[in-house]
Amino acid sequence: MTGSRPPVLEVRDLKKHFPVRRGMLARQVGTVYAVDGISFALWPGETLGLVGESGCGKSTAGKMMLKLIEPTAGEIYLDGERIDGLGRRAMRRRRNRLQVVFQDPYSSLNPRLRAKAIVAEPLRNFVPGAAVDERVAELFQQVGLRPDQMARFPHEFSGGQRQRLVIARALALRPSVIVCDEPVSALDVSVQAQVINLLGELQQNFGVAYVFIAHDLAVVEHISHRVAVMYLGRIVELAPKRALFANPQHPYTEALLSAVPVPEPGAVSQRIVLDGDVPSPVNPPAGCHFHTRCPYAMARCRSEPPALRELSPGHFAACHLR
Amino acid sequence: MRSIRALPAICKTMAAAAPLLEIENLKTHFFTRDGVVRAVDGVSFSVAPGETLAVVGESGCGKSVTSLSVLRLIASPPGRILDGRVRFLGQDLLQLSERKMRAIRGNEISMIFQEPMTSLNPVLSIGRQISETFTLHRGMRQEAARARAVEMLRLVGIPEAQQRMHQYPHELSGGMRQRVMFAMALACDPKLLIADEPTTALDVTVQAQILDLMRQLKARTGTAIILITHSLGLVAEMAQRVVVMYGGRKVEEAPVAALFARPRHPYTRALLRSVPRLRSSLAGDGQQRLAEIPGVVPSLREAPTGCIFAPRCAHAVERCRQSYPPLALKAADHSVACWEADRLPERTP
Repeated sequence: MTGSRPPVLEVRDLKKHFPVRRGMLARQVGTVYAVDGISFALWPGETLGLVGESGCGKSTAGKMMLKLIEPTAGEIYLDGERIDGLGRRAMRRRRNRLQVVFQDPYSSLNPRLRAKAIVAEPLRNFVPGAAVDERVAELFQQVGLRPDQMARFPHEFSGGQRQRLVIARALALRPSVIVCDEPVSALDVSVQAQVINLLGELQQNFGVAYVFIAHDLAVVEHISHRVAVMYLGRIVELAPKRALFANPQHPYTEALLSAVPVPEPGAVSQRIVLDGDVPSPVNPPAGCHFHTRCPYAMARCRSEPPALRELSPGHFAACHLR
Repeated sequence: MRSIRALPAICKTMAAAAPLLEIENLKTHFFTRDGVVRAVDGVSFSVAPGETLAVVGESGCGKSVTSLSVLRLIASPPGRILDGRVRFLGQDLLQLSERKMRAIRGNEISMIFQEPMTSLNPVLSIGRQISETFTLHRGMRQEAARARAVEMLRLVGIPEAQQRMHQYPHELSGGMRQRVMFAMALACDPKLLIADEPTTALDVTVQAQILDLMRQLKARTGTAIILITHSLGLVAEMAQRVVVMYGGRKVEEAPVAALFARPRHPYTRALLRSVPRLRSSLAGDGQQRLAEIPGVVPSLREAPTGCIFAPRCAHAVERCRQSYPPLALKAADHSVACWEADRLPERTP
């Protein structure tokens, strides 16, 4: 997959720190280290899963890649071109290559537009005068919507169909990357499978790459080629999915995987139950962020943050134990 | 800390005992401007003392409305319990006066909801909220009630319980709030605990803590649990028996092992196959398609003719569209509502 082609999307040491302000003078009293130095590359036609618990910074990372928020530091490259410093106008010209699918399809759709107009909107912005109708019809068919549904409004669709509509819109300009932020979490179990299959199909047909942000490990495993596990703003492990799920190297990944209930009665599980909650990203623990909950933590973990190191080809982990 | 697995042997003896709760032909409909919503349409099941029964289904299947009906917490209007009996320890809860019902809620039957933040009162300290249970149901004095509240907080594994008494819900994390909910729910040693998606709003590592807590508390108190969930993983892990609901009706009921080993309703089968499983990529080669259930969850506005799953069912025949299949016993404690149940192909796991 890596081959000789350059990555479609790459981030280097990306950071986002939010100031915490209090009082009448809005003095800064602290900093939320939402994303604290993450790096990865996304190859053409690949799906990179980004998993972690709430507050780990996975959605903030996604918004930075999309340039919906400005990074505090770090570099973002789209098709080899650096985009993190670009202004809104310059960015707008490149938006055709970078699209997004959010969790809640209803709030992503303008309730006053008909389905057809929603899917046609990006086309009108980028390819004026082109055969818009034809392309919209094609997209409807590709995402499994019927042509007679074009005249409907978003509220007339079910949750799964709305997500199909969002996907059709994201796909309209043949982007090289779609950032999917929890795209199936709001859907019913029986409908989830439809959307997951659709995303897989579209990737095979059009070679689009996905950054797939989700908290459901089984879903991420199913759809991704590689998976990055985040904890408190940092990537703690990044590996091809089979390596990660068969042989997790970071204690947090291990605990996370063992915590997932398995739909098999009597399945013997050696569950590692972590104590406590995820610490606040306002004052993350020094050293390795995970040391407060890690069953194997030692003195070094409390002072020195571990670097993300390649343990075997393509398998990275940030842990002093490895 | 490693978790302890529940022992299935205990459950077998318990199932034989007289039921603690018996729901019979429960019908709860909502009368809205757009028509009648048949949220629960003739559901029956029972819970034995000390048993964990899972009620599983997707949104809109009626699982939550069923449990709210048991406690008579359905807002009326628009909701109304049209028919049925809910026998708890011999008395029909649907016939009780509101006063008597209040003595049961939070005392003999208590309930835990998905979002602890909306179930806790934001302007009262958690100490006050837990001790209220004791003053109301046990007639305790403030002092004694507060002492018991601290005990409850310790029981559910909240550190520094004494100090936490003065804290407000917003000062606690999601997992801690849910522990507080458990402390309140279990304060009066209820015989039945209804837990409606108790871990859905929590992160997976916190969910593991709460499940652990539920198992420990159950081993200690012997409370029967109705676990309402959409997660098949949770069902497999926690329940002894399972009721599968679809479109306001019970479509299958079975002991948990039997349900997963041999699901007999096409909906249960499809549901089991449509969920991706952890580490499934290690066995197969490359990406596999998930089994889809075509179509959408039905609207409950129109009175169905025939089986409500028929429009999405791969095995539906003419008869399924004509008349609703009754529940039929197919094996020990395993009943299913499907005309074609005996003719379904052998399942490939």
